[in-house]
Amino acid sequence: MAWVLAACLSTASPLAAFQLETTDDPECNEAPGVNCPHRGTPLSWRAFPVPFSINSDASGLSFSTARDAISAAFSTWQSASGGAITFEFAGQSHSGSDGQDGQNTISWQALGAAEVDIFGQSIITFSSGDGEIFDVDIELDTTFPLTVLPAGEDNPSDPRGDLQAVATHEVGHLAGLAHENTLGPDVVMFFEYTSGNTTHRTLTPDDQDGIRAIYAGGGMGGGGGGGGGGGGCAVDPNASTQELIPAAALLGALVAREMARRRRRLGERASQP
Amino acid sequence: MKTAIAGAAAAVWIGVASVCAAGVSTERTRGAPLQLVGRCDSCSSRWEGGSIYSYCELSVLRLIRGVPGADAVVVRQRGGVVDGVAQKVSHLSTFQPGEKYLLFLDHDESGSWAPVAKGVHPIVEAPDLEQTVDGQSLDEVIRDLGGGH
Repeated sequence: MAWVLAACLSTASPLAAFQLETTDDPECNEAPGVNCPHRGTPLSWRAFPVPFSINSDASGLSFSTARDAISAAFSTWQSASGGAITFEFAGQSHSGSDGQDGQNTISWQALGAAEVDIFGQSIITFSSGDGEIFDVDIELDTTFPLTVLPAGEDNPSDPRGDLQAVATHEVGHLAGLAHENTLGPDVVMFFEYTSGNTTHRTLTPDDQDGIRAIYAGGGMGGGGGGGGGGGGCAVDPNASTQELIPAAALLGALVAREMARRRRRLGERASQP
Repeated sequence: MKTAIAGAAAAVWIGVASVCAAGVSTERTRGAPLQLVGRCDSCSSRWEGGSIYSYCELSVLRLIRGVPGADAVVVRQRGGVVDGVAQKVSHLSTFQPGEKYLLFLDHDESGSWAPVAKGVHPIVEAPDLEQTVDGQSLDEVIRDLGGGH
């Protein structure tokens, strides 16, 4: 809990501004420097490992190429979390998105006119009450060429997107992270991606803080109750220290209450036969 | 086709349906057959296959272009909540009842009105009571779009 407190306070710094997907995200127009509000309860997985399958039928890539790039994206987040969230490749699929099938499928689709200018999107199915994620399908747009670029490429005139970079961004959504637009385009969860670039294969410290805040702290993910809930970590990065004092006091009280509760639970367990 | 992609793809959004202030008017939004200012009165959601879709009724407050056919339009959008199960698209948000929007709509594959890309812009009432959209005056945006009323 103390770690959660530290993480939440750290989001007040411009150096840690990650945003969490929540149960209540009002309509908002994003722009560089503008984060959308996230209200309600943060979304998280509660059962691990989280399986994923890949349907590369419409990708124009070999299955092994798609699998390797996408698996690398999952591994990146898993490593950053210190293994607090784990993923498991569940094999090749020939299905598309289905929020009711409990499978997390990455597939290529023509996303259509309403989704123009998008390399990929994540369809997140979750409990509207406690934010538990049930299913996330990632749809990659066949309209735009996705391939595996040479590592380190930075050529904006190259119209091709890097599959691993785009997948890393989308897996961030799958894990429960939202767009973070205040720290610049190198942040993997930045809302824009420039083609011909592999930068987003690598998480920034802010991305790493985000995944750890959800899973490694145990307060918001893993069914640990609402201690970190309510979007409490999504503090306005421009907030002054003074504005944070009430939040710190509230978090301190929550920490004390949780510790007291744990002590009571330990006492109860010890007394059982 | 490849040339078009090369021209368009230099900076592409990953999961973004929104624009910065200068982007309210894009080629796609300008081409939308129905453009209006509407207030969301109500929404209902249902499963359609493996996806949840919401149908939101919006009263037409100002018509900029097109024929809505009635004083209200029903807009279909992916995402919503059904019996405690919610679904969202990473870059889309659902309409909020009571809120006003500048909308650019076209018919989707089901024949319903649906927003075109970057076609939903919440309207904010500034302290001086001027209505703004993406930081711009709503009236100016509408004039820029060719709508006068």
